[in-house]
Amino acid sequence: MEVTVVEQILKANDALARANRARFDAAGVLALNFIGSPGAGKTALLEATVAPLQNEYRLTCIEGDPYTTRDAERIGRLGVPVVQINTRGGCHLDAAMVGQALESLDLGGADLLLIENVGNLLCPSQYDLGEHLTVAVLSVAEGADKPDKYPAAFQRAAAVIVNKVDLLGMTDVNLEDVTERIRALRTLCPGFCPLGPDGRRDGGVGPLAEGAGPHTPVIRREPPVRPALGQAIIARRRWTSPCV
Amino acid sequence: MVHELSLAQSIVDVVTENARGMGIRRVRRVTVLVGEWSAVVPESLEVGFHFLAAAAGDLFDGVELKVTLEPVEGACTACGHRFAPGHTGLTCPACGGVARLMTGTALQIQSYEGE
Repeated sequence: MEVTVVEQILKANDALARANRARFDAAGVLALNFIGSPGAGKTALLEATVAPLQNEYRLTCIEGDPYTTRDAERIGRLGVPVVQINTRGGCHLDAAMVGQALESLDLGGADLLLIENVGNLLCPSQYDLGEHLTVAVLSVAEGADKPDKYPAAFQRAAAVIVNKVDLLGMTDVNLEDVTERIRALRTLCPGFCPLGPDGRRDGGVGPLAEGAGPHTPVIRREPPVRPALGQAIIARRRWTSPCV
Repeated sequence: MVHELSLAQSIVDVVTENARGMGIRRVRRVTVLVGEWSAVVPESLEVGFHFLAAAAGDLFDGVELKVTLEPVEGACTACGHRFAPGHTGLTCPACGGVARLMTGTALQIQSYEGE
């Protein structure tokens, strides 16, 4: 007997992600999921993001790593409530892990949740955590071909931050080439705004959802989700770095 | 292979639940659709599936996993041209317009055969 069962393989994860998203929405929290290679500078970007935002917004954070609590300690030192998830070798965060971490966080006392995924450009692109926006971080040291090699990760992202641009002179990477690769892929993403600040020195995630500020978006369309807080953050931040 | 294992577990869970509801005692074949841009290695998915199916008991004795690959296809929003994204990603090769991804990211259980 042939039985037709059209079910998403990630059905269980998707259901848990929807539950997480409902919790974020109920608490009025904007949730961002940061993905990128190990060493792309995700944690450094978060550190750079926290400082300018925490006077105006109540931040909270979930850190994902296979092992160690180093990243949580770094974010915790900035006075941000943070939970470290150790996947014990697992290659991505999933919605169940995030849901569990939420039990230890006071969502009602937060405006913005920063989730740093496990360093990996493959699996995290498949797992919805319930976030409103995904941000991909790519360091120039990784090479210009990563968007082509890992299209799903960059396609999922509402914004791509090209990081460690101060190392450009030490690589054979041409910034225009990287940008072109990202643009070519991201023509399929409705929320794309090109971003190029060096996260370590000036960065943060301010302009991620819209092309406000000194840069010109390639495709200026509404992102899939644009909570009020996201707009507020974008409107209030000033960006001095040149946009790629 | 790490995340293929959790996907395989999900396949085993979904089919087990459905088969129980249908009174099916033996699942012969499970058919899944896997997109080329889904970041899944079909061979790893198969290995993981067979490992977990064996652990799940008699229901999956001798089961086969049939993986259908879903190719990536974009459709230009300007001129309607449909194409397989190559080096230019989803920029339309015909007119340079913006294309939407139509297929290629599926991760779906389609059917199973049981008795």
